[in-house]
Amino acid sequence: MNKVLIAEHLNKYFHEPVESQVLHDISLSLDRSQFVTVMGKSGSGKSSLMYVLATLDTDYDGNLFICGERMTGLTENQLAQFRNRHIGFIFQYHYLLPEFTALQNVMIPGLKLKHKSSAQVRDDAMALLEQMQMGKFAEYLSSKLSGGQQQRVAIARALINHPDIIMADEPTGNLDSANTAIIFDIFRKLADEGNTIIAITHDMDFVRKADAGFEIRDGSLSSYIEGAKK
Amino acid sequence: MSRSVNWGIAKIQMAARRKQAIVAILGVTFGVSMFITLMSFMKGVNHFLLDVISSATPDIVLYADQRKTVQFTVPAELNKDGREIIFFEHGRKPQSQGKRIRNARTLLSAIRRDPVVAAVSPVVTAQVFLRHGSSIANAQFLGVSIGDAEDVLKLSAKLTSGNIRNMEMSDNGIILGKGLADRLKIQIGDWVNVSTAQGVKDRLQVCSVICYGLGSIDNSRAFVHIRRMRQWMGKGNDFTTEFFISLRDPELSEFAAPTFAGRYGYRADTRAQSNSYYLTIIFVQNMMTYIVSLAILLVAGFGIYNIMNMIINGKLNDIAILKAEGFSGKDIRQIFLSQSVFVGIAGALLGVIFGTIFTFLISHIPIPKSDLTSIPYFPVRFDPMYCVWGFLFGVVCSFLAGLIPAFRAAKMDPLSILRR
Repeated sequence: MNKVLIAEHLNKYFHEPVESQVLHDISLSLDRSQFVTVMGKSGSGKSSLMYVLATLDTDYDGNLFICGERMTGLTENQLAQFRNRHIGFIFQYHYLLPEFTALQNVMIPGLKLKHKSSAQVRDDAMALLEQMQMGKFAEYLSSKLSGGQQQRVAIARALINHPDIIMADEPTGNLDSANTAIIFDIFRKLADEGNTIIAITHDMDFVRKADAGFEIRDGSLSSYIEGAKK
Repeated sequence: MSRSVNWGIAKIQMAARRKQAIVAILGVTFGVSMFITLMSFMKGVNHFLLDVISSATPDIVLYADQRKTVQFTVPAELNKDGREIIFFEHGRKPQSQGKRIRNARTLLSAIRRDPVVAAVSPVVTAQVFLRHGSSIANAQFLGVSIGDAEDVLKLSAKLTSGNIRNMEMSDNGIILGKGLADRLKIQIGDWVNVSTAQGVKDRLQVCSVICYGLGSIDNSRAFVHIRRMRQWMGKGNDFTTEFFISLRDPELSEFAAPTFAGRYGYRADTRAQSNSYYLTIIFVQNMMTYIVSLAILLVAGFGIYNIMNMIINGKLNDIAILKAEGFSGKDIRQIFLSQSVFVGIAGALLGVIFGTIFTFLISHIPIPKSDLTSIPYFPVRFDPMYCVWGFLFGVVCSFLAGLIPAFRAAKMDPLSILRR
């Protein structure tokens, strides 16, 4: 079982304000340790695709398998448990809980999973923050950090449960070029360490860093770009 | 374990919104403390009134009913406009003066023999004018034989000065209600002039002063020897207007009264019937207290509902990411519901403490001296059960108020938030 993610004939419709098809018969599969990007213009359906792949959106036709398990048709609670264990999320906005410290934010999904003692989760979280060069900000309230720092904490949070797949939705969309460069490097490093990553972006530089890239146009996966690195 | 993560999140969120949390907690505190205070106060007043009633009136009063209401009907065919007319004639003038009980002596011995009766006292009542110096007062005189009255009404327990023996010994003694004594500026041993409705004048010596604590009784009631009353009225020595009866088991009065009325052919009122005025007050007072307490708790509940809704509206992002990270709807519900329950428990605990303090304070507020009562402080009866109830009410109200917002948060679709 080398395919981490298999999507078969995904179709998605929006019913509001008018009936329209967002995703047209999309099929794709992702190998373990592969770093792919999905490119597309605003409105092309790339975010919709991402939410379907992320199991956050269950209103679609077709089949979705992650780690060999069929996602389609699972209940919301089952999906939530699955995401907790297998998927790490990085969004355009950091979505850190503002009342919590950077360290606590990273720890929460780990505590939720309960595979480790809270002391172990704490050590793991600390190591991840160090890896993101955020170690000295661990005890800062997340709302007190800068945008680039917050995004790095969010990445650490996505990694805490050693997910099988990391999903990123425009992770650099809110950042300046300096911070963008840092985040790119982090992603590249994560990919080199063997993580499976799927990232939505409209940044060609980001696409070039990846192993492979899809382009989505008007809801169809229209082309496949071989990445620069492989 | 998952619960402890949820609780940890709830705790930190609460701590971050300390002001809102405190406002919500104080709302519950206010409701619960007011509930306890009002209940204690209400129970105090009720207990006081019931105590007065039960010491001032016997279990059953047997008397000749003077309130005759006669009803005439004019049939429709006798009327010009063809309608039936009904006349009521209230308070028909009695034919002979005095609403006496006939064959009182045989009745008395029959009642005495009744196994449910503990004691019975024949009574003659009349309105009598009292004069002491320049002070004049009108009083309801109860002519009793002191020994019997003591058995039925436990007079000695309510005497503030003098004792019952003085009265028994003295032939022309009188026991005055405290309000009457104050109004006449009279003291024990003083002589007071009386004049009856029949124009008989007499002089009596004050033997004792009796105080029930309720102005409407203390300002008008006086006890004298029944033989003296009979003399004034020119009646024989079995003249009786009422029998005061106390039962071995007062609970039975509801059943005993109709039995007596049927058996002896006179009207028999239970204590509840002769005091329907006070019982109505107590009833209305109870209702008011419950309504006010519940209203306060309801308002506190709305406060929690509002604050929880506000908190949740400010936490949409957090809910979205928690759900994306793997928290289920149940977890989210737990996070927010536990905040409401925390508010409820903290507020209710504080409420119990403050309620107890308020109750204690009220019981030490002196009542301004007036004709209405002669008790020194507001009557209060504190019962730990009120704390238990108040606490439960507070927690349940908070739980219910938090339920809707928590369910709303649990059902929230993370997509609709992430998409924005």
